[in-house]
Amino acid sequence: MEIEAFESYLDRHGSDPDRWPANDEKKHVIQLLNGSERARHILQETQDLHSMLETALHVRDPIGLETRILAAVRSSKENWWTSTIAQWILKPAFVALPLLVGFVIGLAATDSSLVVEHELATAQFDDHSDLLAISNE
Amino acid sequence: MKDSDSDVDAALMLRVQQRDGGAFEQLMRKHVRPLHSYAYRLCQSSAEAEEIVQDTFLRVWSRAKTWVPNRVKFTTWLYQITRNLCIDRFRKQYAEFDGSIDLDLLPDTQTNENKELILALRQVVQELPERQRTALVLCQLQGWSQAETASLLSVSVEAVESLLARARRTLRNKLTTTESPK
Repeated sequence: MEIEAFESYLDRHGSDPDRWPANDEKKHVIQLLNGSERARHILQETQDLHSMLETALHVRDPIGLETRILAAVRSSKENWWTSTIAQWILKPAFVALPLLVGFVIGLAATDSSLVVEHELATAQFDDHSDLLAISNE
Repeated sequence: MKDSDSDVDAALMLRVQQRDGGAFEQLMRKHVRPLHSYAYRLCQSSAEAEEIVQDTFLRVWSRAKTWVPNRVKFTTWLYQITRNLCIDRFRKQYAEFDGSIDLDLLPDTQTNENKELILALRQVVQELPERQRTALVLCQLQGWSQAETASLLSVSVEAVESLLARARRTLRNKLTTTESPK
């Protein structure tokens, strides 16, 4: 590989060898770097330039941006709180409602069977007391 | 970006589509800083970048239903919104742009010589055509792959390679010209 092709490679793929695509072209680049002082110098210069670019476009963390975004969304036309309430309170309530109805129906059925059992027991007791009364006579 | 990250985003976004405020907050907190870096690097103004990011997330909330899972990654969609907002602002402000940049944000530790170089670099980046600037910022500074950038720009990976090559060549040539008189 020639130096010009190497420069073009750096323009296309950047100066970080870890991000170079693993293919034959990379093998040629590595061979060139192993054998050429000039190629190593160009790589170093390009890495310095790219590092300076990162410094030039260094970003400071914005203060309070997250809070401002949430406030903006909450005051947007479509009310945040309505949606959140719908999501966290009303939705589970709709899911729970059929369960609650089923539970009440089940409970009512259980109660009526108890009444029937109670009535049967009372009737049996009455029959038994009648028999006792007959035997006493 | 890892696939698992992308899956987490997709799951959260599906909940946002169901108007889940908690999921929106999680998604916003996860992406707000890298998105702010991206916006700042495109427009080089901290106030503009913050407004753009805020508008981006407002759109995520109000237009959540327009994101279609499996068609495009959430991150691509998110950065596409930011890019469009930046382009809109550039169009509106192009006539008023005087070439000045946010000097207050220069790192304090730099020597005067470095500060000159930094200003020159920022000027060159600002003057790059929009697609070259976007490709450079995403691949060189935000750590995106060429394939991810290609998806955002709706071009092929080879086209991204070409955009990057032109952007980096411009940087190299202009800075060589800037430094040569010394």
